[in-house]
Amino acid sequence: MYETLRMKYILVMGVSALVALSLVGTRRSPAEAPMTRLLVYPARYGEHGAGASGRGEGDAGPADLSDVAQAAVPATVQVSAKMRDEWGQRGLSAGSGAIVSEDGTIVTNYHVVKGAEGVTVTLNDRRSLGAKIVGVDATADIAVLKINGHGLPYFSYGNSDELKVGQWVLAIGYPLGLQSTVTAGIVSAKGGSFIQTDAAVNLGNSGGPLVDRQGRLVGINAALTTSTGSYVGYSFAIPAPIVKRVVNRLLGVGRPVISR
Amino acid sequence: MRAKQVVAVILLSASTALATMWGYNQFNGSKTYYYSTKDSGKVPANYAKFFEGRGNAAPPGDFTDAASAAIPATVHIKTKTVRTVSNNLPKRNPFSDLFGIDPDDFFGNGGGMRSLPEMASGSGVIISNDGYIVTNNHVVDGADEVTVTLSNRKSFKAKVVGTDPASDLAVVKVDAQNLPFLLYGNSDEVKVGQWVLAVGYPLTLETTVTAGIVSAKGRTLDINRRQSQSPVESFIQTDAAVNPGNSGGPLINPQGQLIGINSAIASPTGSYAGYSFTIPVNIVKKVVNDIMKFGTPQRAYLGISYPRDDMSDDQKKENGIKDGDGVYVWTVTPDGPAAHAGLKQGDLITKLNGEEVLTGAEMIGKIATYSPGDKIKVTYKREGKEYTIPVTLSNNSGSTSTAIIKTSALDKLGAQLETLGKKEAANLDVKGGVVVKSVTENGLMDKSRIQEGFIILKANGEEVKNLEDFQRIIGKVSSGTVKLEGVFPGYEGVYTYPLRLSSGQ
Repeated sequence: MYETLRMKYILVMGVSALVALSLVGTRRSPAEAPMTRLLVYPARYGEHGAGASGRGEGDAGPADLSDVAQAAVPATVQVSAKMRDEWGQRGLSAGSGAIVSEDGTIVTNYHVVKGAEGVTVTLNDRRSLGAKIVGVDATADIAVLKINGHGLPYFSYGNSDELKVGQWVLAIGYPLGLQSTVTAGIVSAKGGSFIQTDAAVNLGNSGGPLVDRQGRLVGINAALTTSTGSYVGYSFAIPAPIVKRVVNRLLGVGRPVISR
Repeated sequence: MRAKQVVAVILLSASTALATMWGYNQFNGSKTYYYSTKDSGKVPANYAKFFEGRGNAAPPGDFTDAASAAIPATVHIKTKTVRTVSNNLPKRNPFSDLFGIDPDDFFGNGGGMRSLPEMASGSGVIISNDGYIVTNNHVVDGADEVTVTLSNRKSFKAKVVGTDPASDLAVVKVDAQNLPFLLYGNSDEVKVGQWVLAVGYPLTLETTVTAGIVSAKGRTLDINRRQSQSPVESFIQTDAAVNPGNSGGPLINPQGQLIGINSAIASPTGSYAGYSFTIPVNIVKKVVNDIMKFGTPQRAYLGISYPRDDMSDDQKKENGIKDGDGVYVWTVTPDGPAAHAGLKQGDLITKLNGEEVLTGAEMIGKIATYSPGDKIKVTYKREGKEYTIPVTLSNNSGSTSTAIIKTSALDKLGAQLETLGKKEAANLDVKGGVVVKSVTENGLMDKSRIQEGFIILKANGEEVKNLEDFQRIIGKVSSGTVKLEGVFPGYEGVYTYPLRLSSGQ
């Protein structure tokens, strides 16, 4: 039951992609919901200053993240892909996605829609819409989808190069068949091609946004390091600059492409 | 009485000095501060971000400065253990006759014994700029080779300075200068609900910082019993993500100060499930200072036993243990410190030096910050009335009346010494002497191969009748060799040992 933390062996750690196979969400009839553009909120940095709250330094906690969460949730979608596996079995792949334009451009992971026969996007208001695959980049693990829409809430890109280890981030997505779920964490480490966080992320989070305290898209959640198959504290996202570059390239082509 | 708790050694005085200095906010971001075990009161360079064009401390909720201070001071510790194991195979390979080659002979492994190197890894915290590093005992336990890798990927071979299985701590040393290091915080001031960061090298990952809150304090898991008869456990519990590989790494507060050493998790899967356990820094400080000074921790004992914190109501009833606020005194060791002070079975200990203790683990954690010979105030309840008495703590071998040597001249010898009792002196037909009660591994006495039980009668030809004599003679010789002459009771003849006082390698 109790484990000391020395690594006895060099563990062969599974890096699990976060796509949830055969997780079929319940479909409901579309509900009316006002669609507003994503408001970018200023950081409430230092809002709960030690002086203002009368608390000691040791009690320092994060500023309220509820505004950011509230703004980010409607711009995060569930992505379901009908597919056949290598043995011809029909299945459903479920992941998440981030809306990046008011007319319905959506970023997700390539591994969410890989081999899909049809893709459905479910908005936060439960409306389900058919989506077209605009293009994919297998190497970057990025896919761009398009739904027909206008006035949709969407994310603006943040500069993840400015992210600092220790900074607060939120992961939004549809993990484990749950409805839209927001989890908080800090940046645990950074590399050129990844952002590591301790925000809880699981199967189904694939393709969903990682946002900073200003509500900007700083990454696309893509993987986790685990020894159990689920979250043990280490989540990985593709940094926004890479996402932006790939998305712009795929959109520039303007028709379905399979990029190497 | 907090002053008592402040173990008066260099490392700690440095960190307290720092706390005061921070209060005054007299830092200049452009300066680089260094610190070594010989130099106290300076702030290490890795804390520079705390002072760059800002107020005194990071704004609440911002962990970036704390993370940037801690990452360079957190190291990756890899160990290699070569174990010779029996593989239980028949001595002769059944196929060898068919092929004419015995693979064991071929590889030179006769007798079915094989050497298997076992690799393991953990984390560690640099605590001085000249390379002292704290980690868990279980990270380096039994290792034949210890390698320390800094966050900038520089690697060093490390030497194990000393270990304490009871608290699961170890000190290792690398040969380096001007290293970044962490400053000690105060784990008594840590509150349930406050933010903390865990830093380390979990699983196969590079330096990783995770955040969480303090979930509980004064917890015991009873896991150190596997490596110690008298375990010291008083964990801080947090919900920061921690996994195999984090062992020995730091838990820090948002000010970047060390508040504990991550040691264990409670989990049904073997991976993080929400509950991580950390050795509080106040125990770490005491154990580390002792290891650096004496080579081994100088553990203080109160001389009582108490029921486990998780004892069921039925068991309590069976043993006649009454519930109440405080720690129930179950048995009192005869002739121990508590017995001398008048504590009795059934008393409820409520405070140590005026600070509340609610659980046995909390009490053990507090006592672990004192040394044998320290006097503390114990508050207890007896038949509804509260009393406070002074208790002089002892070492585990017994009474408080024998002088436990803590004076500087003898400190460095790495041994527990006592004046020979009058009776024993009479038995041996000598006027007096000094008994070597115990020898610290790798201490100077140990290196000179002096064994426990040796009775020192002469040093450099001068007669040694008591500790004072011995101390005076040793005090005169700052370096070089002292010739010790003495006897082992029950053995013939006089034994002579050259005791090398130079502390160099």
